[in-house]
Amino acid sequence: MSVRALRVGVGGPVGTGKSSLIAAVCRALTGRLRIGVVTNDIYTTEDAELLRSTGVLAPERIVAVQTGCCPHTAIRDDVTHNLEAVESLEAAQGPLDLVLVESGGDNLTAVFGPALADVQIFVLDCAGGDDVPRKGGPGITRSDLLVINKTDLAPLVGADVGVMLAGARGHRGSLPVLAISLREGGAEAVADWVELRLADFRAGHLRTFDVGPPVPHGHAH
Amino acid sequence: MAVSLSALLLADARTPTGGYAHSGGLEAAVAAGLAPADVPALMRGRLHTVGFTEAALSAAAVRAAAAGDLDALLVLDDEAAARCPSPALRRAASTLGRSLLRTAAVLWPADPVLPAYRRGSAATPRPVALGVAGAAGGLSAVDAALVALHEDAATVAAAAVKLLPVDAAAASAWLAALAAEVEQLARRAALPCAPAELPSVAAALLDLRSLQPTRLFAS
Repeated sequence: MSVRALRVGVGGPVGTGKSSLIAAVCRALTGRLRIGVVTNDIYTTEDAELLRSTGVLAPERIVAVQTGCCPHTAIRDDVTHNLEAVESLEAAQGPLDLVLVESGGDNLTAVFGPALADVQIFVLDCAGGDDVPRKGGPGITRSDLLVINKTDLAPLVGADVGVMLAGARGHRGSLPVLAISLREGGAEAVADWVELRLADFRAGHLRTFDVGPPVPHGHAH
Repeated sequence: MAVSLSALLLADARTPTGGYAHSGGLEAAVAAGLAPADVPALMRGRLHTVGFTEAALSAAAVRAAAAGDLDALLVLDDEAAARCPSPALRRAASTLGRSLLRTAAVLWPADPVLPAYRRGSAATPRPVALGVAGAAGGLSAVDAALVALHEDAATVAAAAVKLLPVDAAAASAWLAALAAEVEQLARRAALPCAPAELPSVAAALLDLRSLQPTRLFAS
């Protein structure tokens, strides 16, 4: 039995829909779970303000961490500011069931370290090019859930969702991939996945993997 | 001036203590028009004012922590607050202090004073936290002052590389050029004295500018 909240990292390149996904997942789960969000903005606190403006969560449940141009550092190499933010949020607003930590938009190698996130979601989108999943990188190859967002845009930008899924699955084995459109209610499947991980976490059999470079390995077997 | 490995660890930006998210007031200074060539002057200005003041607090905190004197450390918390009028800079110091203590507790788990200070201090201002961490790592008072001053300047230099068209090697050269000055300041900052008599050299412009929100750095 865990007393603290499940910490879910949400990462991925700029503009793929991380903030929108978090808002939609919060909307889907807020009736059942007590949720907090920590955002890591590259520029000031805009992601936090955007999320507050949706009214999905009470404003005090959303805190922003500024990362000094180093969003990748803040989620992996030196997570101290994010840990402080998560723990302060839980202390002030707790108890919480779930804390979502949004990475500042970064490149394909930016993943959460196991000291910060129990599980992590990596978000790509069809508009970024359907060759991106095939390129790999730790977020694509070993995140706990890979989300391919904006499937509604695929025909408009000449992207093939099938190619993206095949590219992702080639790297990921049995790890899950969801191709969704947030505009068409796609967050429900992600919310369901988060709830299942929370159940695992509470039951004590969540496996937290270090997905990042340089050497693939797990901390719990 | 020989330094210990613990001192090098505390001064190493790769040791995760949260410093990368701060610019030492450089972001606000750049927004106000500071040019790349003026960054070393800002670094020196900090070293001789707030840098020196904070280094003296760190040195005093090493002595108090090495003596196991938690009450003396909490007095130094108050002395640090008295020397930091800006609420924004107090918050930044508090966050950085907590981050540093979190990592120091992992590096030196057997130290008894560090967990006691983490529990007992409401503010954990970074200068005092650095002294507590330094004592846990076996630093001398002058080593702690040296680390405090070096990191003060290095924070600005590292942020300059991100904010301005500055060659990273040139930024390191700024630090190298300050070496003798930093060592001299460290020796002075580490001179023992009563808490109320600790240096209190301020930099009003840094305080004022800290009240304006920054976009990239936490301070």
